[in-house]
Amino acid sequence: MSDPRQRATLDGRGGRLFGWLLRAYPAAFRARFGAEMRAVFAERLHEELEQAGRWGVLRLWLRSACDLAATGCAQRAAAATALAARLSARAASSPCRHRQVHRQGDGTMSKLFQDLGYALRALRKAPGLTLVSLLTLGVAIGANTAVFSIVNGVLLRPLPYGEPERLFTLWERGADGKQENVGYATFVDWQSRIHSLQSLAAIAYWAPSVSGSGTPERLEGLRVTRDFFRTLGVRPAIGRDFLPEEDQRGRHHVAIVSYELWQRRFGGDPQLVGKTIVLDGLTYTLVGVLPRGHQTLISTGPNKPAEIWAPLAYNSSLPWACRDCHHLRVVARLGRGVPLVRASAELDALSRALFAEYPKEYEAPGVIFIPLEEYLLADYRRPLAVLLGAVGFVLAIACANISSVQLARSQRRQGEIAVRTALGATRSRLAQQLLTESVLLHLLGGCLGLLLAAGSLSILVRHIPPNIPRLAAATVDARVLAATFAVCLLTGVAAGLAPARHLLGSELRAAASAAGAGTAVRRRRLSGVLVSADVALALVLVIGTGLMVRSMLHLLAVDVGFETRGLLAAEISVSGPRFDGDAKIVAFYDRVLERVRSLPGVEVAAVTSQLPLGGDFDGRGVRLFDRPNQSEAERSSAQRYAVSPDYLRVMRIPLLRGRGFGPGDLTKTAPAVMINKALSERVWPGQEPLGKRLQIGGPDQPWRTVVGVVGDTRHVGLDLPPPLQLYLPQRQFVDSDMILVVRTAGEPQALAAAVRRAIWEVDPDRPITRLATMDRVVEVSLGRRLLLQRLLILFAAIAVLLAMIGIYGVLSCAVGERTREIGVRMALGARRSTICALILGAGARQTAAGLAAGVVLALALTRFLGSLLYGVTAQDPITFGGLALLLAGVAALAAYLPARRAMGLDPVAAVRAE
Amino acid sequence: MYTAYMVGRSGSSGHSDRGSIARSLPLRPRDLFVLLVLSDGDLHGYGIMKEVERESRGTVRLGVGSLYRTLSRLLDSRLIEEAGGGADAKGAAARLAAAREREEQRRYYRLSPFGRQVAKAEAERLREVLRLARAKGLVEAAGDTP
Repeated sequence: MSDPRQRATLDGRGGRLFGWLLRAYPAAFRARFGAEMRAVFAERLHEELEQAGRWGVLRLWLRSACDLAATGCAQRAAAATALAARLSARAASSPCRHRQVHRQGDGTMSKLFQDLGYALRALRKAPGLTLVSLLTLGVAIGANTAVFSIVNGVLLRPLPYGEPERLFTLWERGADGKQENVGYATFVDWQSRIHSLQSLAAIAYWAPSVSGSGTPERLEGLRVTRDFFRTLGVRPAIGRDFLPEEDQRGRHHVAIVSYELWQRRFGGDPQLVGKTIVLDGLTYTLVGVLPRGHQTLISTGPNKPAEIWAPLAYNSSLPWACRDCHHLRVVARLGRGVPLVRASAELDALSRALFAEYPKEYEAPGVIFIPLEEYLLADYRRPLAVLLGAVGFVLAIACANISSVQLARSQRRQGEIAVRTALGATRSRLAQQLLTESVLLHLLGGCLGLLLAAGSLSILVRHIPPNIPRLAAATVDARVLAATFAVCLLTGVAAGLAPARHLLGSELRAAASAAGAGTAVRRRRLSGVLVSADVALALVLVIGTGLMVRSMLHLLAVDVGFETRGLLAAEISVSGPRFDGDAKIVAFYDRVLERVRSLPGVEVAAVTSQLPLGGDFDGRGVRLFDRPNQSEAERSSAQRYAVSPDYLRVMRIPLLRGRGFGPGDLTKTAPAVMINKALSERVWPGQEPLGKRLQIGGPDQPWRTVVGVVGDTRHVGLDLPPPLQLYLPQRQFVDSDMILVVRTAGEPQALAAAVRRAIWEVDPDRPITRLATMDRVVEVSLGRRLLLQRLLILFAAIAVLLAMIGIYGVLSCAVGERTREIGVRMALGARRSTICALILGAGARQTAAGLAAGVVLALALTRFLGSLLYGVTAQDPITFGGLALLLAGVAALAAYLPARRAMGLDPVAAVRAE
Repeated sequence: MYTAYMVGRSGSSGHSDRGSIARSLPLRPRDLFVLLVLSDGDLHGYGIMKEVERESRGTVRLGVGSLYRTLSRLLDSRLIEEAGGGADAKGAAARLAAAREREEQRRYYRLSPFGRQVAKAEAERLREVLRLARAKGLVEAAGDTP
């Protein structure tokens, strides 16, 4: 490009964009001059780049886009008019009965192009105003488009399965009537005895560690029965699906991988099928790769998309395949043409029969059907709906602002309208043109908004915690474009109606008298209503945001029951033949703890089988020795933690009674257990829990003696009360995957690398996952709320800013118009404070009306926040009152500037004005 | 309304009689500038754009769209014409050069005899306006004469 002799050319994206801009012109014109225009533009670009650099190029593009759009429309109008003139001339010369000859073309298209030409000229005449309006609309429409893209990607797009409406998840009914995971024996009965289901599959979590070549890594996977992919209607793109015989023990070491894993771990090796991979120390043969872009929605969690699948390969002889080992999820495809009620009735009947046959194994008869889509996405509906509502409000405020700006401009345009009416323009024709102007403005704003949305969407998606499924798939697609276009048209007409009606209603009076005092009052009243609307909408948004922020503050102030600061957590998993005995696993963790404790900066370290607030869940039924006749339904279920001796010290969980675990709690010593306060109060209210005995899990487990009572910790989330909890010595209940928790003297993140090295010094093959500070773990557990809160704050800030601009604009316009009146008042002896009160009073009335309306609207709408709130009610008076006051202050500020201008007017000059 | 007027004018592109010259007046400033820069010699589109900007001391800036809309209008009303394939291009060499230029999308434009008359008439009209303005004391007589 820097060689001046080289002829500048326009190709690639720039060329396409220019070609697209050229379409403003009629085809004939393009054919005649298009190539030449392209060449000239290329030279101009070249020149700008040399002289002014990138900014020059950008400026040139912007200018040229306006220039081409405006002149293109004008050219089209001219061409259409010429055609119409020719046609009517022919009609006039031929003996025809319809001899109406119009000077102007009367084709609809010709009128439209004329209107567009006028509109562009009108917009260009007030560049500052147009720019502010475009920016306002661009931001509002951009926010709407971005949020709608997310809603569209996450909620509206059909699930990536064949005929997703026939897919359901099936659950056993628990004692409390809620859904419960399914036991394998039950699944087998369903599979063999239910005929209204085309197929069904059971799913178990699986997190295999991959070793061998490359870094050790823990994969997110699922173990599934043979019909899993067939049930979903998904076929591997490469290789094959599982064979029925591969779902049998001993033949099940085969795996299917996702496209992403294929790319990431295997570099997209085309010869992958038939190769092997070492998972948990066992060799698996890879048989298939799923199609590219297949979103694996069914997985361990929304931020852990599954990437590898292997057959479940249970048989009824396995201890965990029992009837009350509830740990499987079941997905089923309804038979074609089978109504849901029939399948449901058939399953209910079977369930009742099974309940009668095995009364001890089931809590209650019945099967719960949940549509797969509901199961996967229901949690995200409300937050996304709230966001969509919020951006809708921002757009409404923007429209009200545009409307009042156009209204203010109409004062200056009354002369123009009067002249055109006098020249014979009909009212409908003028109305059309005014609406065209408004719609055009909104469409241009929409284009800007689309650019903003396309730019911000990727940032949005990249920066928010990935707790929402399918978020990465949110793009600006045809549906989003159509929605944006519809919004532009709608808001364009809506915002254009008031000024158009006003202008046309006043045209005659305006023609009669330049002052048009009556119409000015009417218009001011109308813009007052718009200001009130601005304030009302902004208040609703601000209150909604305020409630969310207060909820978040309440949540962050919640006592989680342990000290999150100065804590580092890392998940380690051991698996495979090298760790085939409990002793080897225990020895491994002992060595890790020893190494980590010796690191400088580490105060104390421990391991635990699950981390509070870490998204883990390990609930176990508790049988009490002193209550042998408890039925399954009456038994409590508690979170189980297998911990090493220093766990309480690391977490700073208080020991309330008895003792903690020590080095004396070994594999062979008396089985011990610590329980939390909540469990103690639930099962032994008012009694001494120490020394009582309980059993965890199945009847094959030993009876354990309660040796200590500890404080409660929050586990599932900050917003849920602490669950019942019990702690076992790690040596007496060995888990292969443990979480290392480290209490550090300084900033925990600084020790992360050293801790990782220490673990790998013990065994370089161990994958380490979720290495993070506890503060970060808590933040992730708040993910969905945090995202919602941040976006709401952003939108509320935009809304307040727009409302301020609206108030300021309308009041300063009023001051401008009333200059003479103010001058007269001053000349007659009005004090400056009176003048100030006059202007501020007008603003105050509009604001007060807006605040009142806003409070009512907010009362009606905030209840939709419902479960998203924590610690505040949806009608929290402090939030409502405080934010209404705040907004009143903001409004006063916006009104003060015009008022000060009015006070500073020189009465003599003011009276002489106009 | 304006466009209808323009088209009406371009439709009556009768040649250099006094009536059609009068009907072409007054010229839009940018039209006049294009005619003026072409009075020095033939130019291609980019050249016209640069010259107009230079001669008007930056007061008239033509975007690509405005430039070609202006050119198309001036061509339609026969005030300018395409150089190259016209009567002046003599000899095979010139035609070849013209063809090569055309290949590179450079077309040259030239002032037509009719255009020259119109530009002249416009200049005279402006002189009359200036004289009147001076007589009324709106413009200083000495200050503005070159």
